[in-house]
Amino acid sequence: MGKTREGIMKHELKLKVNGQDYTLLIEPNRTLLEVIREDLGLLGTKLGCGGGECGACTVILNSEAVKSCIMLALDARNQEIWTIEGLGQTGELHPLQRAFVEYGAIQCGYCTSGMIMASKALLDENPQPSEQEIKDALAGNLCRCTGYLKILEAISSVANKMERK
Amino acid sequence: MRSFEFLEPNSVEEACQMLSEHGEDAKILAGGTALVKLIKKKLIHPAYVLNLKSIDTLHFLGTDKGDLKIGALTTLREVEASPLVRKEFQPIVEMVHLIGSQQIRNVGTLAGNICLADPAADPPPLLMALEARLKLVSSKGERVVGVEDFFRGFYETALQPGEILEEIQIPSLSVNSGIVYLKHAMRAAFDLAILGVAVALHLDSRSGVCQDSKIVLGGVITKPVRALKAEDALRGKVINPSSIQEAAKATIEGLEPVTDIRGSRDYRMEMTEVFVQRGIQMAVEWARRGKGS
Amino acid sequence: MAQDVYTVIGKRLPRLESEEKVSGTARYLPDLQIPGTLYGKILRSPYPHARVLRVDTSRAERLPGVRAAVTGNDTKGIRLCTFSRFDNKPPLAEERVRFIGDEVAAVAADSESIAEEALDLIEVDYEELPPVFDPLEAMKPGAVGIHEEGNVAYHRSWMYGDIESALKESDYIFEDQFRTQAQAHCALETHGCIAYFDQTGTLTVWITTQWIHPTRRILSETLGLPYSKVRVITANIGGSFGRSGGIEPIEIIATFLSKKTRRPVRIIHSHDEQFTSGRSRYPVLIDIKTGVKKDGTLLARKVRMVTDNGAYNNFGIAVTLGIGSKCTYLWGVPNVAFDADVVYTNKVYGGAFRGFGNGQITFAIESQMETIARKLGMDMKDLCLKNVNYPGQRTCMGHKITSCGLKECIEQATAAAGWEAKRGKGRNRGIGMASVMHIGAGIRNLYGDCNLSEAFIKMNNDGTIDLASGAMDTGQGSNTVLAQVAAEELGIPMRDINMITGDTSTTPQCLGAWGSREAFIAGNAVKLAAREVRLRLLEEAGKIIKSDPEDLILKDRQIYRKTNLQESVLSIAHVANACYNAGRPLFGRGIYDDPSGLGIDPKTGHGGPVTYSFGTQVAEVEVDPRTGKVKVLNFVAAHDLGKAINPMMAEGQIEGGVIQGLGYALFEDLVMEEGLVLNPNLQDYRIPYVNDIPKIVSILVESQDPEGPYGAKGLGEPPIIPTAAAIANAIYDAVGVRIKTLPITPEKILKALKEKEEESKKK
Repeated sequence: MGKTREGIMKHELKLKVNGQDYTLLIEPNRTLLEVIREDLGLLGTKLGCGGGECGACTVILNSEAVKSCIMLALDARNQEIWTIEGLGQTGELHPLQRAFVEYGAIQCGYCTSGMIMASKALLDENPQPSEQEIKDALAGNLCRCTGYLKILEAISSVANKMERK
Repeated sequence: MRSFEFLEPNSVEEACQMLSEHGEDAKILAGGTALVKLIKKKLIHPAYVLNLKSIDTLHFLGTDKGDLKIGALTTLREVEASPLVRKEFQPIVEMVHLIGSQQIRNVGTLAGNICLADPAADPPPLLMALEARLKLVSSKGERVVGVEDFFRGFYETALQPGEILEEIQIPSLSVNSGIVYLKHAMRAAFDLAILGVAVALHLDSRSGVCQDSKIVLGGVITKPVRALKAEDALRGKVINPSSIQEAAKATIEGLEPVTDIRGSRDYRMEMTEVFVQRGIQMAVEWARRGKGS
Repeated sequence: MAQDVYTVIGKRLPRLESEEKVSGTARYLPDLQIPGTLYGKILRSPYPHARVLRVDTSRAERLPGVRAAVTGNDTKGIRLCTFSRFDNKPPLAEERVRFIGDEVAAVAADSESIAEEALDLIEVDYEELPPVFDPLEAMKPGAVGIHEEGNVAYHRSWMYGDIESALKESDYIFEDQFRTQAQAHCALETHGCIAYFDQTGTLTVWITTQWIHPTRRILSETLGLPYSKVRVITANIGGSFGRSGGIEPIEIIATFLSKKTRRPVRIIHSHDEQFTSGRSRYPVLIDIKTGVKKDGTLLARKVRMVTDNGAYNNFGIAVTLGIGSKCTYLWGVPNVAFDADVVYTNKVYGGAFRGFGNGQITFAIESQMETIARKLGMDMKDLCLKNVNYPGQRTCMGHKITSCGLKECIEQATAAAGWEAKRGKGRNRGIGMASVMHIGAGIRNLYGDCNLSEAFIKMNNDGTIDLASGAMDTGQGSNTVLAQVAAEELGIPMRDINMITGDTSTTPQCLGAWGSREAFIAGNAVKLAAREVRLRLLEEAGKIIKSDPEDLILKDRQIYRKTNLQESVLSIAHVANACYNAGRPLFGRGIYDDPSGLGIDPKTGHGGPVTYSFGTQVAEVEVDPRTGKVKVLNFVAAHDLGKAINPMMAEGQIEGGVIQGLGYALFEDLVMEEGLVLNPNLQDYRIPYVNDIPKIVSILVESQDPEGPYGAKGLGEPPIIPTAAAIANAIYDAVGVRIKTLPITPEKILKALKEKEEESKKK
């Protein structure tokens, strides 16, 4: 175990991100967002407000949407995390990603990863949500550019296509 | 954020011990949504963070002789989604749904919310109206405290140094009761309340007269508070527009609401009257429809 | 109409960079990893007004990991620049601080946490001075002086026509006072920069800016560096809305720190810093006096206003002058008088924000318009149609309106909203409308004597192109629109276009994204560049197949004879390759400067646009009369954008603008007490989230501007402008109270309802 500059114990952190296993040695005061971005180089998840209020940092932790900027990285020990990079890449986009593209649900794009991950978590649990259920799932995600309507349309379009499990 | 040591006790006893040892320098991590935010904003500077998540015995939700028991690590989401809570304690589900956002509820715990004691938080007024009890444990033993005695002031609770909230106990909802929690906020979701009103009415099954009630205001002063005058005004009376109005007016007598970024004192005063009125109205409708339990 | 003639124009195409943005591979400033980067943090004044007696950074500099510190001594004499003689903000305080959050000193360190720790070690001796927070107080004689010249930063007074006669001639005169608040941009990405001197000694600054070329100019002139030694670059930008249409202290500070350390220095505003020390919309107090004839004809508009400038100059004067000229726009009032003071206060200073003052004045004009209509016993819609602006009309300044679809906007918006059926129906529900007339393509003389954009197109051997434009895409989609223009002209698909933007070293001149100018100005530049390439392509093709170039067209990467569209004669690639081999690779250059010739008007002090954009919005609300809470049920927004180059993106601009306008109307307020921002976070600074939005019906009215590319003109700003008035008017229709200050909170409505009830009891 290493120690930080101030003599704080570092901790081993094992986690699975986008299907890959990682073992890291990190300080306790690192957030999950910082570790995802800085240690794992997954820059698609964004730092917005840093206080869990805007949702730009949303990732999926064991099938639930969480705000990674207010979660200690060590709190995610041994858990499974999915970020936007784990969803799909250019050429092989997930239906949600494709819908965001086709419905014009993106403007500056800064909220996009968070919106997509929050809606992915919703659709995984509830493949045919009502309009209100979609809104409730996104209630903690801020978008300042789009006015939300096209985002809702994009998610609805995917929801209607998916079959009930 | 500033650094701290991360401790992971494996049992409640160990957690209590560490807490005693480090006193004010230690903070508990259950869900962590509030904790991390407070450390980041430099409002608290713990030297030690005690992560309770390894203690499986704290993670439970079930009934015991009809009473609902919720462990310290049970998330708001688990409470909201629980078939048991939905069936037997529906008003709690509705209240929890008003808290924050999905992501916060997925991680944040009911216990954590209670211990933070934000004056505008949603759980405290309803839990007080339901006469919930809190089981607090420490190295010295355990005690059960009524929720009403737990909230002392602005982010201040009855937790003693070295104590952990282990369990929340909510008595079963009786038949012929009507229970409602209303939240008044500016935005449709995500907002902290300007004020919240919880009403639990217990009506006589034959006469419909109000035997007793608990009416609790949140976000009006620095802690949740019972509207005793309103309760007095309803006791033994038939609930009708006139008694409701009387109760609502009685509530604000002598009330000194705060002024803050969400609302002024005068507005809160008026809204208290409006929402107590609405709360009682809705609660009595529920009771009459037999939906109180 | 001409709709089916176009291949790409008018199509609902996804924006160019969509796939990167949904995959998480799009890069923004905080994602950039430049080796050796140091992290900068700023020490800010805790006092609203104080003398700075001493700044000592020595202890901070001794903290392990701190590499340099800078103070006002290092940046002495520099004034932050909007190209104006009024610039007076030093990047770091020299002898005084003038608002809580004013930059005092800065450090660069190995990590953000070390930099933050170092700030606590900087010693500053302040001598507090009495502050003044209200502009009206600041204007009083004897008020404490914030700047050498006093507290009135600027005054302007002018008249077109004869206001007093017009008022005398009026049958009714309406006088109202309106007050608006400071609105924060709240773009999801905060403002930031990374500065370094590259291997050739060129100052390179990555900035979340919406105008790279003006910024380059400012940095060069401010720092005394040749333009060729300054490079401004952007990554993707997480929203802007005008916030980065200026130059910020951190850009100069990072440069100085980088110079001292010889390493890249990154400074990004923290979330609450952005609220407390970043820019916001100027709050104003407007007294508006309108004279009208009993048949509804507006004769006179007299506006007196005070702008709360904050502690330093930024765009306060320009916004105020802009508001002045906007008084001559909507409803074509023939006699207009304007008198304004721009006043310093010891609060964080404002900046440019989508609408640039038009939101404030339109709130006043359109709120009052409804009052006028009711007094005259006219329906507001009819009053508006009576005074509607029309193509060919001249404003009282003598500026000609070319394309104008305001009448269509009014008619279509009200029809879609069910105006007649819903108006005045009671039960606490109401419907209200408001319109906007705004500049449609920027103006000259705001940042230089011109209003230009330039584009270069290089066609590669395989027929794909590199398209370079100095225009900026901050999320509003200009890159896509420009690519559509090029794709249409050259008959190539969008995916064959390599967009080069956001770098002063690789793009030609453009004044950037502001004033809703890019579709028009940059679009025309791209069109001209593409035309040049097209003409040469067709010429060369004509030579190859021995045909008159006039008989040929470009489509789907191929060249066809007009007489036989089934069989292509040559591929574009073939011709491009042939040109290259002949030693003449295909290249096009387009320069466009707005041809209006309108310079700064000597009376108003502001320029005039080549074209105007129009719109009408209708809001339907429900008010809870016991709590004052407003729910916006439905919303219709009809906007004249000349021609929708990309209707899907145009709707996106409208929807986003309306929701920002809704926030401005009902929720948002940067609350300050004694100069301290009380709500520097998203919990307490309330922006609409997804559950707060109404259904919005967007109607695109295409008036086909004669000068705009394919008839297009600007849409970036108009959607946010009339929203507050539409909602205020709907509230009046619903519960009969007129709220004249923004935001319209439940408390204000409740108070007004009580007063109304007491008034009616007296009668």
